[in-house]
Amino acid sequence: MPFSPRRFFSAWFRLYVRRDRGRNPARDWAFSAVLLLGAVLLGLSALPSDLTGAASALRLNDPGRADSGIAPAVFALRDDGRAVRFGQASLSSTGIIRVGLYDPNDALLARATEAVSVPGDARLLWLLASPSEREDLRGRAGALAVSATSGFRDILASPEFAEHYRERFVAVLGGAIRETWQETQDSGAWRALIRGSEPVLRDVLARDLRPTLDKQFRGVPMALLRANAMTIVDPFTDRAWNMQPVEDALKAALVELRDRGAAERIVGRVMDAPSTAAFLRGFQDSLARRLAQGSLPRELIAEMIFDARLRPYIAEAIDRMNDLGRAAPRLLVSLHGSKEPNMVSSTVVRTMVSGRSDRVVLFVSPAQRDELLRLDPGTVRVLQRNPA
Amino acid sequence: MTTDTAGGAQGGLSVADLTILRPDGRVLLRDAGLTIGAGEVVLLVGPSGCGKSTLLMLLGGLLDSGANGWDVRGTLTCGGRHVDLGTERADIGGVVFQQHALFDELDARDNLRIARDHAPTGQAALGTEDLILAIASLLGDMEPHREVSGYSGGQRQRLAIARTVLSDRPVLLFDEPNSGLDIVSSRRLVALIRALCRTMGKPALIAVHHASELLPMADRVLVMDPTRASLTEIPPDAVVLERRLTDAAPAAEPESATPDWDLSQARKTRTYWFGRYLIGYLWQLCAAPIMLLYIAAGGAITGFVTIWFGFNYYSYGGLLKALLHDETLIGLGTVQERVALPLIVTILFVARNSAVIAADVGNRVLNGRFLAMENLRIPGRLYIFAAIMLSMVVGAVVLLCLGMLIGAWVSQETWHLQFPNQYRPLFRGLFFRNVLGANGWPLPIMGWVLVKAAVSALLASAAAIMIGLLPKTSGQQVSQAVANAIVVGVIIALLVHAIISALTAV
Repeated sequence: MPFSPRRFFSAWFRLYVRRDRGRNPARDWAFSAVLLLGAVLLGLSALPSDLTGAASALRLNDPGRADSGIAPAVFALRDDGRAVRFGQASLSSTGIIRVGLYDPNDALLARATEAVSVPGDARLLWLLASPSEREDLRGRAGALAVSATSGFRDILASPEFAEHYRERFVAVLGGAIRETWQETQDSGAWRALIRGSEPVLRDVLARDLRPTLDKQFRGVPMALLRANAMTIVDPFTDRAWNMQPVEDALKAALVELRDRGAAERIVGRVMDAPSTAAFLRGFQDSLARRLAQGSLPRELIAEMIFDARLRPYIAEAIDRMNDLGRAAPRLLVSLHGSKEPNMVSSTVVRTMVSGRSDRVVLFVSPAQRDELLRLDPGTVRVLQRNPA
Repeated sequence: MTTDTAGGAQGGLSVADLTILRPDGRVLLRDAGLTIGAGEVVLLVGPSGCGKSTLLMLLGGLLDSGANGWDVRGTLTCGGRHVDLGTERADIGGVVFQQHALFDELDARDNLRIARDHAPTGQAALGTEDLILAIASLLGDMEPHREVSGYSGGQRQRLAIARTVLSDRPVLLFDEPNSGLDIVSSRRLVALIRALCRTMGKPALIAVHHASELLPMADRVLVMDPTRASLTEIPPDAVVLERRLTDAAPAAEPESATPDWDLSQARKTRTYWFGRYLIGYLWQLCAAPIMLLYIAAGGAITGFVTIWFGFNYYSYGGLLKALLHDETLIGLGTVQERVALPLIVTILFVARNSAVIAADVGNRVLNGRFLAMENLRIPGRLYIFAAIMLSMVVGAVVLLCLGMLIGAWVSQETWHLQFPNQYRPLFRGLFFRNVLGANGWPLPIMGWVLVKAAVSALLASAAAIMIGLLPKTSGQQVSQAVANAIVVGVIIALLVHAIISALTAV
């Protein structure tokens, strides 16, 4: 018989308000005992249990377990791609991931048969976004990159830049080139280049190359800035620096050496020699690495961004950035445009704030697994069931 | 002024050279004396405020000479016992109080049994056939298991007399027994008193304000004269007309003894009677259904409010609700189970029960029930105060656990209302993160939560008892005591929670 508040209060009134025959202690105590028992049972039903230690817990192997921990949160993806918290995970000392499911009999398990692990950071949100949401974000990020690059190039051509920043950039980049040159000269590549050259060219290289390079490299810093505007201002892509200006300067230096009297035949052989190619490649890589690791160019760029005199050149980029800043959290956290909160975001926040690199276990369908692997094969790892 | 030391030696009462000075220095009696023979019924009459009740309290051992400013001198002889009234208590009289002072928490039979069980052992009067018949004649029309509040004034008067008789004191003292009774009932009552005194061979002193209808039933009459501070005997045969009216009235036939009164069964121990009071207070303060529902409602409302508003009042709505879900739920669970629910439940518990305790103790003071217990040699204060404080401590802990369980369940359902597609075990794992250990048992720090509740309840009950014990002369003062007890109890609970929380970070 379903619970009826009216019947309950009617019985209550009969028993304890309209007492026809006075107090009946046994009945009173029995009624209290029933109330107490009901309350205790209700309360006990809200207490937690050890899910990962339960007999029904799943055992999974992670082939790349050595490099990360496992977040306690476990998710399952529904057909519509929305994630739901599905259980708890713990990593044993033997490397086995024990997954206690909230409901081992849930129908979702019949479809979400595959288990994968994904880093519990923004990549997880990106992977779980719908294709349209990803496309939306890509479009906004691309527009920002284009605007920023265009704005940066306008800044480089502006009189304000020439007056306040040009020399500082030249100094920073020139310094990086000089340090790289020194580092490369001390390396085996330079010695191999010298050894592999004919004696006459060896003298030329040893005597004239440095002054020639200094001359040719004067314009390289600005050429590097122009060529790498996209790299500098695009925070979303970890792309390598474009070293074409450096390569061009090096080649121009060799050509100039030829013009200074070295036989064209000899210079030609030097330029075609593997040791020369190795030297050029080593120099470029070393410079690119130095530029990528150095903070000063980015600090200068940040100073430029907040410089009111340059703001008109990047006004459009700022608008695009605000647009992306507004859209990204909404798209990534409000999964698939749903009003239902995206519980994945909470796990991501917790993992990121704690500074950990725990991976999150996802139960997905085979098709969803393949799609995740297609989107980011280097990030998604397929977990194997371990029946032992 | 008469003195008959022989009366005292033969089972009667003899008081000599009695002087009573009020706390304000006024003389109530000076060098007075009275003698009441065994089985003799004496009326004590006098104008209002002349000190009749004070004399009864003195003979019942309930007047604190010295401590409260009363100055008493004289000697008393009763049953071979000699008492210096200036230095000793003369607890020779069993008092039947004007307001009856019956124990409402006990039914009629237990009002008698508790008096019998606390009477001195080895007495001759109890258990005799004559006494059983005498009591049956008093109570023949009454149901033993009925609550005393359900009886009429006359029935309550007779029950109070029977209770005093069963206490088996050497002297029976009656304070205005005919108050509120018509003439016929008054005479019947005095006839019963007279019969009892004859049966037990005990003297009786009846203080009355309106004595005319009782004069024929009395052996002697003493007038307490406040202007002369004296006791004067007058002949009781001055009102023949009154005797005729009494004779014309139909005599009440004593009904047969009702076996259900069962006063002949074995005596119960003090532990039994303490247990009776403990169970009574456990019921009243903790286990009554209304109390359980009250605490459960408090826990449920706290659980709902915490979760509902905790998740719904983020500045950026659903965005932060999802981003901070886990930490929010852990935080809400910690605050609710460690601080909010213990505080709310304790305040509800303490507020309600402080009122109950202050009202209960206050009414006992107002109605003289503590005096009655003392007069009946019942350690009432020990029974009642210990039962109250024990019930409060046990109840605070048990009901706190109940409130926390209900609060947790309501919180879980409220959370599920907001996150309908998530599984309830997710809530459980996060909500109790800082409350329960990995083994499912409460964390050791949760012991402080129970300490907060127990200490609050103990101190609040002590405060309510003390407030209830303050002298009271009206129901309004009892009401004021209730209000004060609530305020003091709640302040105590708040302070205890604040202090322990500050010291233990719980």
